[in-house]
Amino acid sequence: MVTTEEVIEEKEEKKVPVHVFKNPEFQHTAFRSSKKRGWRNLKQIISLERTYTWPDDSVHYSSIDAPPAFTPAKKYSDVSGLPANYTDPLTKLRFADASEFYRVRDLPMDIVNGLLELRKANSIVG
Amino acid sequence: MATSEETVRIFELKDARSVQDPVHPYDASHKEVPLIIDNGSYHCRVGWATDQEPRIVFRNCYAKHRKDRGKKIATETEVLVANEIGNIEAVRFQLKSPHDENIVTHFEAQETMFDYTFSHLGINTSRVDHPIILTEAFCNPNYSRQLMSELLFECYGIPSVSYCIDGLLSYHRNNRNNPDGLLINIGNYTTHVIPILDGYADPSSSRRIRMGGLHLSKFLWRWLQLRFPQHLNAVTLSRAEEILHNHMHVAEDYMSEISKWSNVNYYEKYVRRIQLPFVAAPVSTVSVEQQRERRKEAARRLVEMNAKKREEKLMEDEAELTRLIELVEAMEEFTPDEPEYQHALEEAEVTSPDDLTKKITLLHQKIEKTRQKMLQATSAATEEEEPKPKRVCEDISPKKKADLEQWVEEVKQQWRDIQSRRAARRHKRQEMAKRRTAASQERMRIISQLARREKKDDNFGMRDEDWDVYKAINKEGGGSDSEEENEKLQELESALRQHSPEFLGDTTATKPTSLAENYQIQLSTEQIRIGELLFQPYMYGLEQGGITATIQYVLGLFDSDIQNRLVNNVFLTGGPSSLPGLKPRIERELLAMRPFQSHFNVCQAQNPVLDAWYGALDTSEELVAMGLTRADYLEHGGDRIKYHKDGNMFWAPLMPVAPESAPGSAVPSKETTPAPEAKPTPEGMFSTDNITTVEPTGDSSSS
Repeated sequence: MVTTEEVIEEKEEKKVPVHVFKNPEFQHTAFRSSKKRGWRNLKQIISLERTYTWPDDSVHYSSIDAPPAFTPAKKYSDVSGLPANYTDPLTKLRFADASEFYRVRDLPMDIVNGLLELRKANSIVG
Repeated sequence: MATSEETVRIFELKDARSVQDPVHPYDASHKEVPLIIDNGSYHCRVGWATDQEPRIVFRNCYAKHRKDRGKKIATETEVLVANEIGNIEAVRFQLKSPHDENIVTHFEAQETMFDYTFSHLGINTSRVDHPIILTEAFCNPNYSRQLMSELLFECYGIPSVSYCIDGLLSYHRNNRNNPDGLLINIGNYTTHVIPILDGYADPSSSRRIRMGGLHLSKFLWRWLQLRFPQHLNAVTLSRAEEILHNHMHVAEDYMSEISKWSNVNYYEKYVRRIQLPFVAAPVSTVSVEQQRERRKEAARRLVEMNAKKREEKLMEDEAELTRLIELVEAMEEFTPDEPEYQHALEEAEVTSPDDLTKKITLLHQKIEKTRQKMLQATSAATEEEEPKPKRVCEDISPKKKADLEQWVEEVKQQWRDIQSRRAARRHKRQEMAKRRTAASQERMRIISQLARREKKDDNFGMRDEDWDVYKAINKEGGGSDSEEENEKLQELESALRQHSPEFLGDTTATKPTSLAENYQIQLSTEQIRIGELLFQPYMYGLEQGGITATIQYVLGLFDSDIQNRLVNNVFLTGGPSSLPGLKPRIERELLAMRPFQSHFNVCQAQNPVLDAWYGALDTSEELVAMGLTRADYLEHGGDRIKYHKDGNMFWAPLMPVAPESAPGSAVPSKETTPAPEAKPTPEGMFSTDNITTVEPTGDSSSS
């Protein structure tokens, strides 16, 4: 049976090692005012940047995003990776020939959804 | 084909585990030596400026185990940092990293990584007294840089920090004599296309594609899991990474190469098989007769145990019976009034003499029954037959040669039954999906019935069978082919193949599969498809142009003589750029997009992974000289950096905003004139004093 003394000893042994080179009074700005502030993720930082006014020649993180390609995207089969000219209207999967079509129709639902999710085509809108 | 030409390419997975880093010695020779940290989102490479190689290379993440809910103390969490994590798959869900895409956003995590770094370098002074050379992302937001500087200066007490860009460091290391070039840096989360003119990068014409090595690994991982669902757990992200590093390449002409894979001969020649580790099923060395003997023994033992139990029970019952009879006799001696009578009744645990007699008769019956059972058991033991085998396999083993024909017919019939059931299920599923068929109309009728709103007389669900209606309206048709059915089908097919192979013909695979083959995954089109993601991000659902399209766009931002300067030195760097076949592919794409008979040149970094660190090593003195010192930090804040050819440019926003404010609460001002009041505080608010940004020398801005 673990007595309370042993439990306290364990706690002391397992304390997080305090490194010599760190300033013990350091507190991140995010946590200085309120404990619950937390860290901003990239999307929040980008939107924060956009709200400022910048000088005309400035470049920030979101302004160097590559544009979409001018040529239309090629379609590839979700079953084999070969170029696919056909799409199954029921499952919206792409396939290259007739034998692949039968395989597409036999696929269970979770695999169908996984393949659509892989090319980000799984939304019910469009 | 002669067998000597066929090479069966089966590859094993190494499944390497990370090795723990030692704590390096720290002595006077390291006094005031700059520390070079290439802080990538995949790996972090750390070393002194006096070293030749980075001392520590580790995955830039840590795993934090949450203690069991049983222990109330919340502070006890086990943290495994970087190379302390032995098997990364075990802690995959608890992994945390300081990076969000390619920017550092989580500074507590960064603090953990720095702790690991500095402690493994052996630093034992009260502050980290070395200038730091730290890499950051291209166009790193000021906010992120500000917090990084704060962490370094306030927590670790460093004297100065120099921020630089890994791609540019690698470029300058490999191109000392080439001031112009087009840098293509393929990283973990992103790929940058950066034109470099006169040694300086031009950020306004650079572009970033949100596709990198991690996306390639993830795509391969999910794809293999979907292609081989039976190996769902065996295909892990680490294994996908290993396959990506060793077996993938970039096709020079994607469309023609991918069409070749539809040819069976090409497939057989070039397919790569990866052997997943498996455990062979324990082969029973015991023969069939011995198994039967064993089963007989077990049955016999069971019967004996039962008999013994029954005997014991019988003894107990008989003893009880004699006791009760004695009590009855004793009671007959007394009248109901006397206390001994009551006492006797109590001992018998009954309330009246009638109950007592009833109990006695019951016991009699029980004893009789037990005796009969024992008689039956002994008689049955003599005629005992082999107990009916439970395994399905034994059902279909033929007993006599004369019955063989009949048995084969039965097996064929069973096989046909299963196939017809499957076909019916499939047909029903299809019918339900189409609009005007009877099946789908019936389904809608049932659904509308279930959805009726009337509350009275609603006794749906009172019987268990009511819920079966949901099976009827399930679009899947009651689930896909069940596993049991599949197994049965396999057995029937293997039996049929043995006895009448012509029945199956070409409908099923005729190659017998060994156990090892069942655990192999075949890489066919995947070999070129994964590398192609860099050129066609649409395959992953990303609506951006690939490397080729982005190069074309970036070149289009300049006029033709500058284009020629850039294209004469297209430089590839970054971890994923070591994919075989990348350079020929880019050359081919450039040939297609450049004017007829114009020149171009593509070269790769000598060491795509480490050249950023080596580049910082080469120019460490200049970098430290251009760094952000503590005095600068305290005066201007942590984001204002001096411009140098390996680093980002700094722009101050025109409006002072406190970093404490919540995102989106700052009202965007429509004025373009800078706000006159400047409130510089040591906390590093954005200040609008009159110090202008340093203009790059020789700024040849394109029209």
